[in-house]
Amino acid sequence: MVTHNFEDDELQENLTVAVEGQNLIKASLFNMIVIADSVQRALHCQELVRLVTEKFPCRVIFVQSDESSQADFFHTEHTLQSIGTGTNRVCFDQFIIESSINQLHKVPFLILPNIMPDLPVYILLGHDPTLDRVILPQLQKDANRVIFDAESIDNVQRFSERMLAAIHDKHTDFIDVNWARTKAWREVLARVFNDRDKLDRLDQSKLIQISFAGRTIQPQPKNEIQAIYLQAWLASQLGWNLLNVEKEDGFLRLSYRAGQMPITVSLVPKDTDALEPGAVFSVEVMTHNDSHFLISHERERQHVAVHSSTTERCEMPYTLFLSNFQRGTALVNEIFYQPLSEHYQGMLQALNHAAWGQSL
Amino acid sequence: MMTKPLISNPLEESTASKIAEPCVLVIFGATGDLTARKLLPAIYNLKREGQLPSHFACVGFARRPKSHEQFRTEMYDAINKYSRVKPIDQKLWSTFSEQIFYHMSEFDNDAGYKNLDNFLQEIDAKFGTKGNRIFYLSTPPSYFETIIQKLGAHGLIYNSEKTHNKWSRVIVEKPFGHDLETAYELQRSISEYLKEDQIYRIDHWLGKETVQNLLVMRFGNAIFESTWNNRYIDSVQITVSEDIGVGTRGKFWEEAGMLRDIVQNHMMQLLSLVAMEPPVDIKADSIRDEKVKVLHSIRPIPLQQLDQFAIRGQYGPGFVNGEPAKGYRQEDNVNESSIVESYVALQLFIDNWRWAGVPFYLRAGKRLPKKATEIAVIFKQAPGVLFNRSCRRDDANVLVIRIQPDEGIALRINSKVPGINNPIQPVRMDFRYGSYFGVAPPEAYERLIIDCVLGDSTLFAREDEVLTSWKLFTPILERWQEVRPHDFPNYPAGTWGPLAADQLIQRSGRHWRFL
Repeated sequence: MVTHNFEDDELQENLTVAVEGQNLIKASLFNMIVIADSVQRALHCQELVRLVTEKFPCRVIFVQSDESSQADFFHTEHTLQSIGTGTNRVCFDQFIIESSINQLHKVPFLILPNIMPDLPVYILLGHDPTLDRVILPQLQKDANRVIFDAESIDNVQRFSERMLAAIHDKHTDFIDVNWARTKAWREVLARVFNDRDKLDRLDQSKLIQISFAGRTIQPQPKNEIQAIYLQAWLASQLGWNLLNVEKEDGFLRLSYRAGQMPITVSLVPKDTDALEPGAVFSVEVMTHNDSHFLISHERERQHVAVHSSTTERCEMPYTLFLSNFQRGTALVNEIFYQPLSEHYQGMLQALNHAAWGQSL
Repeated sequence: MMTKPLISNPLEESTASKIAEPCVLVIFGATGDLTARKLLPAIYNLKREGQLPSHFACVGFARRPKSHEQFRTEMYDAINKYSRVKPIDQKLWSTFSEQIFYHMSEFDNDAGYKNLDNFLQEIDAKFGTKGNRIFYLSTPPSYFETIIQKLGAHGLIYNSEKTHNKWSRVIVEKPFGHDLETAYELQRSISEYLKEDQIYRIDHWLGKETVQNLLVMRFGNAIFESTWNNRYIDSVQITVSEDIGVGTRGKFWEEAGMLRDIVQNHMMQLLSLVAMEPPVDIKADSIRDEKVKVLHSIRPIPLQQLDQFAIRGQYGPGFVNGEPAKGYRQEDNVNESSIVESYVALQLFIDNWRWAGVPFYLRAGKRLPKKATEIAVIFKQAPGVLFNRSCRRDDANVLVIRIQPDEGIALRINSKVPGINNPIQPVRMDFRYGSYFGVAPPEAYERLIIDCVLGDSTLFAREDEVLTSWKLFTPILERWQEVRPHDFPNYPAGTWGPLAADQLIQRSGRHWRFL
């Protein structure tokens, strides 16, 4: 790894010298601007960057600020990272900008000249994009898409409302990492409820319990976001009306109405280290006509086991592949290459409901 | 209980990949090499990646007596040996192996098909495969008609116009016929039981990632399509070079030869993808309509001047990769005075508005110096008024589409060498699939099997494609059969083919690309 300060005029010379004589191929498939507003989020984003760059070498411009700090600082650094080994070793530029809040306005001006022309520009935000007032407005028009991690949203209803407006107004592709992470479960549910009878039974649900990886003893504040997305997606696709959201023992319970039938959706954290925090662990559906579906993650496997029974029959249990959208190439493909989803917008509309109140 | 059909599932996203319907895949010729080396590893990898339907089973059908367990053990070993991802996932295998079965029968035995029908119904009941069937004919071509006739007679092939709640499809391995007449006869015979949309004629080259990328490269990039015509393109060369000989396939090769085995099917598929007009959409029939138009536009080779357009060759003893290599006539199961060709070079013209006057040079050979398959589009020279002293005739821009190995695309352009003077040298801009996308592309058979499960026939050859191609080449095959070559073997193993092939291209002032 070679390190330089990149504010000076000798940057280009330094970049060239860093590669010379090392028989390294320098590669950049796109520009990735990462913006994190706290030390904790910066660590989270660094992990995402690592996941991306281990498969896709790209020019990384990492901006880190700290909203909680009163200090006045502005540091820049250029490093040359490499992936692969031997003749397959390629390197790419990583720029790091650490800025205090009061100097953030400088950042876009430092970023713009260092974007590689002719290549896509992706902005990866570690926080709610609708709240970014300083950097994003300056860069958004040059970005191909804005990817954000909604773990940091503060209020579901406000977030969905602002997000829908942003999608409508900004003409930018917004990609929500947590929505991407629910893709595997959305695919699984589409496969399980794949005929009219099963869909009818799902529509006649009495109780849907979605378990997700989280701490039951000391609940993490935003771990339930993937579970929230998954149930809101179901509700939006099946046309259920949200009546009420309440917290019971710190767990979310949502009441819907499908036609004349009441549906309760319960989001339950499960203390497990088998999955990434927030990842959905199981979906259990109990219907008004006594059908039962249990789809649960199989420990140490990339599969879910599906058990289903009705009053008339009990199906043989079977397994379905659960694509790993928590990390790796699948996640990268999902956040960089999939277009803005109509289902995502439908889900946001389902979330944009006053019933949420102060529940989240 | 019969479930109601679902026209559209609200839980499926339009952007999501299609979801495969439950089905049973029956492989005829399940004890053969293709099943072990390609089919089962492909099915395993589809399962591993979650592409297969959740309600799925695979039945091997062959003549040798074998238990389910024996077959599973053999397939386990085959997957362990030939799968692109190793080692085998034991947990996955423990459940997947339960979905693999073996059914022993002669291909012409009625009782065997009746038992198969009963067995498949048991599987439907146990695995929820809903009566959907794929029959993969991985047998010698001489059994195709018999198997399809028996399947039809025993109700295993459904009439697709009358049966709507379940489907049956048949994958037919190549070669589809031995010449035009036999291909017609095979088509006529199987049409009694199968509609065209139930027949999947496999050409595994079409499953290769780079071949599929041809359409994207051509029609997804304005820079290429705008120059993709006789105004800018000088010629096109398609090369299929193998360094291996016929090996253990001497008996098969004696009946086939290079023109039948590679040129008539694989190379004509490549040529039609390179030369076709933009389709109206990317549906299977729209693409195949355009490919057929190209085949119809190829100028028939005049038999009285055959040597000016088509060259055949056969390798003699030589050296490949520094090792002595046998000649074709010394290979096992080969006639010692065989006239079967192991090398073909062709000059073809496509008589349409886009390609008028542009020669397409095709060459395919065994025991050439290296393994390589590529399409090279050679552009016309820039006017030589400025740099003509530095640019030689062969410094034209070349766009190379590498099919295998090292899949990718390279563009040769001329560049000034740094310094005070103005020397110019060609340089390459190179795109490699492996290093760019960082993931190994799936095997061709994986793509083709899952496409059949999904009912997508885009990457399979249609009846008129196959017959039109046979129509072009059958007269040449007949002439070559009539006129005995006087110079066989005419190239040593490890060289780039016979002298006559060089002369074929040199007559127009061109030369074969050095690979």
